[in-house]
Amino acid sequence: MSTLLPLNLNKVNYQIAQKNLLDQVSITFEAKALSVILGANGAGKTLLLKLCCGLIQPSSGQLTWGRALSIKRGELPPYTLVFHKPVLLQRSVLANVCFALQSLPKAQALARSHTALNWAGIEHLASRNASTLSTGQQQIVAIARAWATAPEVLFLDEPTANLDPDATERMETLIADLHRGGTKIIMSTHNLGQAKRLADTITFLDHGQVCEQQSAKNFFAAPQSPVAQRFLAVQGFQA
Amino acid sequence: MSDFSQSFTHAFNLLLRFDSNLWEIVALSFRVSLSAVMIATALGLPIAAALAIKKFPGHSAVRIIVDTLMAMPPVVIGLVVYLLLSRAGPLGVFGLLYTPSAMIIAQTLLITPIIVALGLQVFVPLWAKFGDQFRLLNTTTRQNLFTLVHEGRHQLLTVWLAGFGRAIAEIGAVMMVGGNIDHYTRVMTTAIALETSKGNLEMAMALGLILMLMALTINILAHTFSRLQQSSN
Repeated sequence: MSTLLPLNLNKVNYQIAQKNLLDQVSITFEAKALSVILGANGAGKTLLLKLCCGLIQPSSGQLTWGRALSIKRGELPPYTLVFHKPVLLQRSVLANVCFALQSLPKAQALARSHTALNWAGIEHLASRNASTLSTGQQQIVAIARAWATAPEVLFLDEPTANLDPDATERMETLIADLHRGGTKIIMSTHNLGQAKRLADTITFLDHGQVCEQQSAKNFFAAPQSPVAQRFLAVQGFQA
Repeated sequence: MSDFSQSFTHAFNLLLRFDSNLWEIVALSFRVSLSAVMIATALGLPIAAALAIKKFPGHSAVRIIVDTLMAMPPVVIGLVVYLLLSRAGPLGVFGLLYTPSAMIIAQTLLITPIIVALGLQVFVPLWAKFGDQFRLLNTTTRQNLFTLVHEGRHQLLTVWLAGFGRAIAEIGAVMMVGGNIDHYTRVMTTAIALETSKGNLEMAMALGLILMLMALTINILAHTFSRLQQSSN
């Protein structure tokens, strides 16, 4: 099977009410590197992730994967997205993970779900109703569910936005583990510390436009665009 | 006032004596309205879920039609069903007019729009919450429908109860298509109207008491399910 990556976006626009929310976005997400999308609120990070996952369609421009995708109804796509606010069903943690594996035979789905909960270190929460968990625990369930589907590419939309430092550290450990395991991670954040800890490459967005895309090391050492320089300076990251 | 209290006492006696005429009417009322609400739920919930999930040309028009049908006077529905089932009507060959089946059809037509409209109020926010996740998991329409029903089960029970309450309290349509035939199509509402006009206030009052008790029970259940839903959120 050929590789799913790179993911190419060529002059992609996303328009609502004649306003370009994503404007001529041309970027490439290569395999292996952990890619972080940075930008202020309203920069278009979530829209870009949703567009990459096919949840919204570009108004113009092209989005192409490394291989042609043909996903039948009921089959899991080779990518998934973990939302910034965890979306869980009002049922047990185990059932939530199993729900994502409906294309598998029941016994196999159950075994895979237990493995996922083990991987995320939340096996002890398996029988708890997901709605009774803290936000941090819910987000870990969401990432365990994503892991269970064995995606080639995992998109994460500000996965630690509402989490306390302990839960954030736990999430970062899981993200790094997924990356080591070969899953391509493309995540958005406006937490610069987190970007510096995790990212191999940075894509910086401002008002729907890509201001720069380069290695994390270079970005933090010498951001090229004035808007990125200001973004770093405001958060105390001087180049 | 003494007439009223006397009627009230007699009504209680009828209830406690398990008067066979009275309980026959109550049983038929339940059979007709429960059947109607079951059919209306089976028809209405998938329509509501489809309207919540799918956007298609004419979507707004369908919603306006559903809202309009919800406000349709029962006698108009009774008239339509009457015309359909009467000997000269397109369904006259089945001989359903003045049977409990005709009453079930009329009540089903009456409450299906209610189930659809109230079901939409349950499904629309649920789809807004889960829609993207379902699309990411590429789940089938059937899986989406079952999951939405499962997620909204407490609120949907309230919808179901509202439909049942509307059906069992209805008089216009069932009177027109059922004919209020003794021991055959007489239900609580039509019996109350008849017994009152005959001056048999004890029987009317006893049936009225049962209807009121049912309304109370339905409201208590609706409140309980609503609180259950809130506590599980």
